[in-house]
Amino acid sequence: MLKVSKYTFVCRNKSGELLFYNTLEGVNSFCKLSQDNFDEGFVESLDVKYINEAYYGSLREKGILIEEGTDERRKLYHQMIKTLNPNKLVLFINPTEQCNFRCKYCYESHSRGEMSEDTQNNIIKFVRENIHNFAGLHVEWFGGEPLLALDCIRRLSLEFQRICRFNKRKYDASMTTNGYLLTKEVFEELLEYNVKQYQITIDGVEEDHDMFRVLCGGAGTFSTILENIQEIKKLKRRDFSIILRSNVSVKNFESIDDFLKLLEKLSWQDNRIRIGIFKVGNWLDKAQTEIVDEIIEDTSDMRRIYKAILESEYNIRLSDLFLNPGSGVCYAGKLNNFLICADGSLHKCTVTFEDKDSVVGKIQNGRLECNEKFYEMISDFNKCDKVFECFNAPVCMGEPCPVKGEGGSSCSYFKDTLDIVLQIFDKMGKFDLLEV
Amino acid sequence: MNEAVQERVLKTLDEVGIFVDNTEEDNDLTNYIEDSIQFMSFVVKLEEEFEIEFPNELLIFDNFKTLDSIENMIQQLVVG
Repeated sequence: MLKVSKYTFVCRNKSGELLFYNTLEGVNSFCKLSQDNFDEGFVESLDVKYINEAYYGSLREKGILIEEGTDERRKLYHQMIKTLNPNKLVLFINPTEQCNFRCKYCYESHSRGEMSEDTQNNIIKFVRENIHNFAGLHVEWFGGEPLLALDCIRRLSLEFQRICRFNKRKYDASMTTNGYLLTKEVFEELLEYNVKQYQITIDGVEEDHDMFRVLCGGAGTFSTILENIQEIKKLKRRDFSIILRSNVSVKNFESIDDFLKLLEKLSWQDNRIRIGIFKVGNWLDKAQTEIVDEIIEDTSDMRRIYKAILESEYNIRLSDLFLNPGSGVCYAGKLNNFLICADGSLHKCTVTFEDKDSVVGKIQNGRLECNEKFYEMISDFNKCDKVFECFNAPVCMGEPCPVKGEGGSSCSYFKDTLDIVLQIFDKMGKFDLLEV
Repeated sequence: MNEAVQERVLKTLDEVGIFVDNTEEDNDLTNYIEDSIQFMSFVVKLEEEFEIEFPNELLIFDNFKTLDSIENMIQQLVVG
């Protein structure tokens, strides 16, 4: 006997087809059923008797249906352990905490400069002496603006590559950059250092973006970033990916169609580029007064943004990373995941790293010396009492943000927009129509 | 089986940080490839090594499962 998995989410698209997604299986579970193969009663009851039996096999293969008696809780539990305890060492490194931008919603003070050679040596020593304990090393270059400290990135990258090669461990890297200094030449050099995944922010059409993301002197940054991205897109290499992060705000409502036209041009025909939609955050309450009114507080406003994407004549390549198991859990909440700040202090969270109470240790003598706060920052799935009952548990795992605690707003944000988000992926052609 | 070609394929895997510890014929190489970026890094390195270009329709994991299947594709692209 089969039943619908507890972690299956179902909604309909405009043609009346049924879209299926299972949070424990992630995007591989995407599939849809035509209207004549299920009865209306299914949407209300999720009882398999309302589905054409001929499709049971393929729905089971996708993880949408499971055998009665399957212990899904146990499967979820194993997924949680795997997520919180990855076998790879992940180091977020701030090579500098200076920035050439002064974004109006930024939570950083940029009071610390470039990482000292001594701290760099400590990191190299730590990696050399400990890499054998891990399956590989992943480095995320963060900051500040990391490209202001390219020499530090060069030096550490070459050492990490050498150490990992010698120890036969995988090494890869990613970078969160504002994109202003990311010329084609710099980008090509970074690829040689295995920096192959990038996050660059574009917050709307030129006028909107330049309202939020300005240089230290206040000048706009849109045209330089866009020019850099367009030059990078001309490269023939296919072994990199860029997530264009868009922090949307009330400001974007008026110009959404022009913005989607731009995102289509950047992403639709180029599978190296994906779009990540986020709302502008008032991180640590540090957003400047002039933009506070622009911040989206209500999930209904996010629905409005997603609806515009769904109904637009333009197609954007939306990133699907946030729909996979464990993807809602912040890196800060995972073991083997450290943020090394420019001054050598250790943290877990990239938002609170300037708060002295959030220091979880220090790198010295080639060792990560952690204090008792380190374990307080590991996500605890017991924080949410509904975790084993909720369909979203495989994504958020109860405590997606160890700083804020259980699900909170990100929980309702995910659940309240999911039906539209899935329809966008359907529009992108990601849902295969099941056939017998 | 052309051992010289397979040697070069193994060298290419190694260069992109895919460390294969078992080179038996039936060993599934895709088990060692962690994600699409690493897969594409391997493809790009193969293209450089053999001065070929894989058309998009060949770029699926299943085509890169064994040394033999990779060698066959390379031979065809070199001849073509």
